[in-house]
Amino acid sequence: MPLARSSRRYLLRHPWLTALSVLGVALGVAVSVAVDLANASALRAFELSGEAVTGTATHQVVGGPGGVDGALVARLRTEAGVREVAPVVDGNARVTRDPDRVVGVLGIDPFAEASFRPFVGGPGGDLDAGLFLTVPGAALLSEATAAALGVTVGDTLGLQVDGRAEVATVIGLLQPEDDRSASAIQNLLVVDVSSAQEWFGMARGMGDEGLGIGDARSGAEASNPQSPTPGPEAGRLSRIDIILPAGDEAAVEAVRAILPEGTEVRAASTQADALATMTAAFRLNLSALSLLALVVGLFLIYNTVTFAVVQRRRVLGTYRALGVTRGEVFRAVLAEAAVVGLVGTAIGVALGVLLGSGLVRLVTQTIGDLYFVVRVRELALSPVALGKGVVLGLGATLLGAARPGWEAAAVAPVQYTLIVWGTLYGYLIFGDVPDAATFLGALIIVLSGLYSVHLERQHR
Amino acid sequence: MPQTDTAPASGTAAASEASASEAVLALRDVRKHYREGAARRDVLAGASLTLARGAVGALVGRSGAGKSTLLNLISGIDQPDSSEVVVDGTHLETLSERERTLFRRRHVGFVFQFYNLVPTLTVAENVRFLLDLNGVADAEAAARAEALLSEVGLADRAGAFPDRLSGGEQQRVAIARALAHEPALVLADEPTGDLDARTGQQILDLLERMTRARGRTLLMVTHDESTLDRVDTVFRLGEGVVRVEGGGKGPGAIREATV
Repeated sequence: MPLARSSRRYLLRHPWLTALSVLGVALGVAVSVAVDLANASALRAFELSGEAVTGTATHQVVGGPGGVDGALVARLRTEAGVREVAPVVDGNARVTRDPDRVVGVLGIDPFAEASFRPFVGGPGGDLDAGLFLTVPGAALLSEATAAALGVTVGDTLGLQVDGRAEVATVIGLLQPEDDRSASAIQNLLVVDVSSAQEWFGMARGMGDEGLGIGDARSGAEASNPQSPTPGPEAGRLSRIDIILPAGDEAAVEAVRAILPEGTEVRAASTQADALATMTAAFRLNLSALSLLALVVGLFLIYNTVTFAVVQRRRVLGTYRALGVTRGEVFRAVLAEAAVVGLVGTAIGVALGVLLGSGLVRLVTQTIGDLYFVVRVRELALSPVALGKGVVLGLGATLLGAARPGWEAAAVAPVQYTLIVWGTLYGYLIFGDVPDAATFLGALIIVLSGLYSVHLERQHR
Repeated sequence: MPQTDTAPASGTAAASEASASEAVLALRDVRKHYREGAARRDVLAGASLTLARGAVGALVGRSGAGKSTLLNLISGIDQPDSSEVVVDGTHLETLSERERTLFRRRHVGFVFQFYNLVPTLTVAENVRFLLDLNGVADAEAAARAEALLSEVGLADRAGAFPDRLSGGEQQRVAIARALAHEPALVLADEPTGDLDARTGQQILDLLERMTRARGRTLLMVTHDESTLDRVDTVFRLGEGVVRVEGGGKGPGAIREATV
């Protein structure tokens, strides 16, 4: 088929034009894919960051900004009859040797943990409780995080917590059950609750009389002098995770009955809901940004391809005059555009993944500045984002080629789309809202043009 | 306002009737108008002409007289407001746009003023362009293209691309392309308009010789009065008068005229 041969040669004989067309498509796809991937990664980071600290708890006992009284742990067991109770202190620390890296610190009681966060292991599992409780600043972290921090078991890790220098000692590695758990514990340091209390200024008093393991624990172990049943969790806690039988409202009421004023019990999912509410506006912004990227990508691709096709009108006109049907010309134009679209899309997706890797750091940094520290900063390869990029690349390319290919003589409608693009662009980037006069002017231009096209068609 | 004319290749009324059945091209009462704002401009208001098989005709007239419009109607690129356009026995006014295009592909050859070769195809590929589109076997298409290129003196340039050829050479290739699929009618739109006088004469010689040798019918639009002495019939459009002039005796030899 001479048309296919001609198209192939055209692309090969105009390498710069072809490269620019491919680049236009690739940039459009890359921008969209990168922003989408960064957004998807950020949203996933939201989920995982919450998931790591929540574990399998059904409910949480929480207080105000100062946390909850550690003495409640013992009271929950003895007075409310809750069997699964886990004290938690969490916060963030900066790594001394890499000040840009923020790690999450999760303070837990190893003896209470096994039911809540299986990756910690617990006594009898992978966790060496003896070391965990006796080594000052003993910490567990994932293998990936250890590698990223350049430490291994036995090493110490300098931390900056609220401006103070603290030292953690790596005594073991966390064993995630699956990839999701592995992601959830990324950049997470699991330490004994008493160490965490000391680091975050939540310790109160000394001693571990309640459990009889005080001698084995660090001197930072705290108890609450006011607590009727002082224990290892005395002092302040970020929260207390508990597991209650599903649907057992009486158990919830029993817990609620012993809670002091300013402390409440809530379903664990409430935290996720609160997180979702808190970040709703930010997620909306991310979605808007993604839409903007889509529009910019569409704009780039559409104009690139339209330009490339319009430039070939003379040849297309010759085809028609010689006896090539509209359908054949149309298919030839689309096939040529599809090649550009395919190559551009493939490059664009790859470029988008690279660009997204950089972008996700910026996005999570922003989340950190605005809301909370997101430890998960890896790029999540969302199939939806990649698929959207492919649809955008091929769709916009074919769309861009279709109009000039089909209606080689009617330039006007293509030009008028620029008014729409310009308006949309101005609104999204500069916040320019077109006024009534602008709308009226654009309407007059478009209607005049369409009338001209109508007359032109009548004359043929 | 251009008026109509009727002209047989022979130039006589009697011959007109006799040759009408053999006519490759017959237009009857062709009307075409365009709109310029609110104004209506009638470019063709009832034009009629007949050109017999194997004849060479020239369509002349001032700019804007409707020559290109008429050529577009004859080739089926455009449609008249009302009329009868018969090319090689086919009534184009009854065909759809696609059918007219396919008809053009099989039965009409084109020579343009600016050659209009496909720049990304070689000379040989340009010549066989319509052969390939019409599904002619590869070997036969190659043989025909080779023979035609030899005839126009460009056998050694078969593999070259058009941008390596001079204007005259490109027009030779265009002539070969126009005749490759053995069309009943060859339309030439100012084929010498972009060439110097000497090259233009050579191209006209070649075009006339090759179409006549194959018994094809040629209708060309031209502004060059000096070319009219070589055609059988001259159709003059414009000035409210359309004249049919006998060819071979120069532009002044008016054989028939209607007002």
